[in-house]
Amino acid sequence: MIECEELRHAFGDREVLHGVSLRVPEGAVYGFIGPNGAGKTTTLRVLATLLVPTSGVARVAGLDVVADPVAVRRVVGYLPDNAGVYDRVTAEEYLAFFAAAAGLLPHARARAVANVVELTELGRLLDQEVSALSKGQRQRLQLARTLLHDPRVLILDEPASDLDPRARIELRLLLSELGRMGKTILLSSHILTELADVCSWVGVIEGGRVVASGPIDEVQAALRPGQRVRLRVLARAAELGELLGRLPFVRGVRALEPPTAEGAGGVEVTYEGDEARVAELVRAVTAEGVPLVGVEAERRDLERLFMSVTEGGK
Amino acid sequence: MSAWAALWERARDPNPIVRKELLALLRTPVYVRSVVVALVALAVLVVSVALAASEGEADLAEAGRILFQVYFGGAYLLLAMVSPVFGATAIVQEREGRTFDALVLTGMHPSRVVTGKLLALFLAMAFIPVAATPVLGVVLLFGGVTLGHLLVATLYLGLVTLSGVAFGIGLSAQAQVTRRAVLLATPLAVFGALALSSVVTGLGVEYARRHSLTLEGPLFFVDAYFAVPYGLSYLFDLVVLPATVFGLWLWLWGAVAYAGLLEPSDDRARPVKLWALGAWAATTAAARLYAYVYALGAQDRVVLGHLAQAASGVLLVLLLSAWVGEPLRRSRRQLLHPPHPLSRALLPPTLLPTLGFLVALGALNFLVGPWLLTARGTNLEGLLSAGVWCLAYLSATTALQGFLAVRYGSSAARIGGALWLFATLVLCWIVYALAGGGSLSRGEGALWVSVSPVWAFPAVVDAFHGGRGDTSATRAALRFAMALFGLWTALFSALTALAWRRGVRSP
Ligand SMILES: Nc1ncnc2c1ncn2[C@@H]1O[C@H](COP(=O)(O)OP(=O)(O)OP(=O)(O)O)[C@@H](O)[C@H]1O
Ligand SMILES: [Mg+2]
Repeated sequence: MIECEELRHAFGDREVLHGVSLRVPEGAVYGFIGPNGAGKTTTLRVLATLLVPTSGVARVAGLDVVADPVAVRRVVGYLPDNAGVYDRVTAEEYLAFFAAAAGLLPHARARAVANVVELTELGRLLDQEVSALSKGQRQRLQLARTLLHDPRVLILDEPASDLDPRARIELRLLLSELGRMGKTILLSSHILTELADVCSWVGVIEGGRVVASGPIDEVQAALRPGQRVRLRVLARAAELGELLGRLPFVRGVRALEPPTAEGAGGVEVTYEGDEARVAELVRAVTAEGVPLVGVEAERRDLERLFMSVTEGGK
Repeated sequence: MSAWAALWERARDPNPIVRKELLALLRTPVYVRSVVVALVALAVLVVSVALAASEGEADLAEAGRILFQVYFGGAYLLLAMVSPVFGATAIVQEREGRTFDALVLTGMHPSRVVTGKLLALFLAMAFIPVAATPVLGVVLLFGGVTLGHLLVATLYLGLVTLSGVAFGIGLSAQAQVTRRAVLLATPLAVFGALALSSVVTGLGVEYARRHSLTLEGPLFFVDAYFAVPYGLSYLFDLVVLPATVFGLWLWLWGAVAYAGLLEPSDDRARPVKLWALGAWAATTAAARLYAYVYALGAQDRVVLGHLAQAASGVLLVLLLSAWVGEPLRRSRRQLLHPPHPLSRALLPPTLLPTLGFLVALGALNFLVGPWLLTARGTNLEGLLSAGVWCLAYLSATTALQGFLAVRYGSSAARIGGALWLFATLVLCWIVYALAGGGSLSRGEGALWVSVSPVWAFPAVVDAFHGGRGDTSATRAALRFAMALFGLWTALFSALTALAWRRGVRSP
């Protein structure tokens, strides 16, 4: 649905994208992560037709963003990072304005506004002046705006940046809902853990280059081979390394922290194979009489992924 | 729904920007407060004039006329000064408030954005005089002023307001910072209002003389509509001329605003280029019509031709400094969608052909336009000499700035252009004075100042139309300047070609 090949972009003489390539399949929720200044916003603005790249090709829904920006704008909803809103109008007037500006015919506008209001749960805020909304509410209003023309592709730049924990969870639900509706979503974010559950694909950009991209599990597997599980014991933590190292499918054992005086502590075990191996690990530990109190399979952890990919960066 | 019904629905659909802007404005306390203050002040003015008139048992009709002049005179000045400043915030505040991207992405056509903003701000400004109408109606009761006077004065008030707002929006669309746009608009607005009123007064004097009328007050032209006999000159002076002037002004600033909303990958200068062509055609036609209506003699037509040359010279130099910032190469988007070859030839999108376009426009303005104005049998030598001199001057200026732009970038070109203007307008006169000067009318020392436009026009008039004896020295100086400009143009064109071949930085 979204394809970039070898995108380059320079502000003046300074090139900030050095050949960005990525592919977002139809219906995917794609998380685009990278450190500050990596070029996320620049890439997204190119895809939203707001910047013309110096070279390279970018297509959205098969449409070239350089050649056919008008058509691309019709299928894309773009939520800019850090954007402003018109202050002295109510939320409803705000949405009505954008519905009209997007070229919806008068009879279709009310329905379009009602749909996005329901989706983003803005109902109670409609009569309030936009200047009286909180940051998070404004963010939701802007999201509603990007949905007005029922775009097939959503490009969201840091949609979670101003939200409190509850609003983030709500955003996550909304994104899943939009994903279920068949929209293709490309979003960038700093709040990496928040994304892990929604995103099916991930791309990591650093210094203007994409360093990893693909389905989230594949990327994770490619970057950190092996599965991981954490074990927690009340005593004899120091022995776990030797004990588990004997098992043929275990690739490594790493202490999470130095054991306490009583020997309590945790280890992270890297192993090959499926979840049945975890049962074998537990059996091996308990067979030796070590007091096992916790087993925790590693979640898809974008933060770690991020840290490992961008190691040595700025 | 049929396609026709949809089309009809769209045609009736008002511009959404108008509604949004007006809603927002009505919730802006400063705006509401100023409207109230303006209305109260007006009411006080009307009442006190009425009281004063009835106290002194003076002529009520006279009081009505005074009130009319005072009110509309004040309103003109006020709106002429306030509306540009008001307009100057229109678009740049979307940039600063980071709402601009969302507006662009709606796919709304830039021209629709401009007209929406223009209409909204115009309505907001015009609301003040409209709300004042009931108060002003009192004037009718006094007599001395008719409904017609009120309607004409109001129409002009509307035009002045619209022009002011359009000018402000033009600035606003080009600016990146609201404060700077407003700071620029304010002095220009004051200057513009003063210029407007002095032009109007000057025209009034000329008018009264020509038609042997007694036109009263600063707003003589309102009287003129009811005093001048109907006929060709009525049509020309009171309909065609104002329509041309206001039309070109609105078109210019509309085009500038439109250009400011285009993306860097578009051909941003195109709207203004179109305007330049249109303005050339419209002013030439209007001048021609003027010569016809007033049956100007051959001598007056020549003077008109020289005036046209001088005015367009100023305009073209201004345009040059805007167009010297054109991109050196076509953008990716233009390469993907190449414009029609004819359109590319007429309105070229990159620097060097644009400069060529400017010089071609100069040829139209300096040679063809004045020639179109003359009657058969006119001695064209003077007009032609002035025209060639102007074209040579423009070519030299353009060649210099083109070279600087290709080699060092557009800011260097603008600085170079300013230095060039200084050299030809001021420096050469200083040199002339230091070198001992001499009587210019006898052609002494003329070589020194022959590159100066300030010298060239009077010299041409003197040499070709003055009927003096020996003007050979002046003619020689003119030829010297043309040769100098020619060499200069050739030199910098060659340097540009060289710089271009050495390679220019990518856009
Ligand atoms: N308008 C601009 N002019 C010049 N340089 C710019 C401009 N916008 C961005 N840059 C530079 O381009 C680089 C990439 O910026 P970009 O905004 O794409 O990063 P980002 O990944 O979105 O960062 P963040 O996480 O902080 O939002 C940065 O080094 C930045 O300084
Ligand atoms: Mg960013």
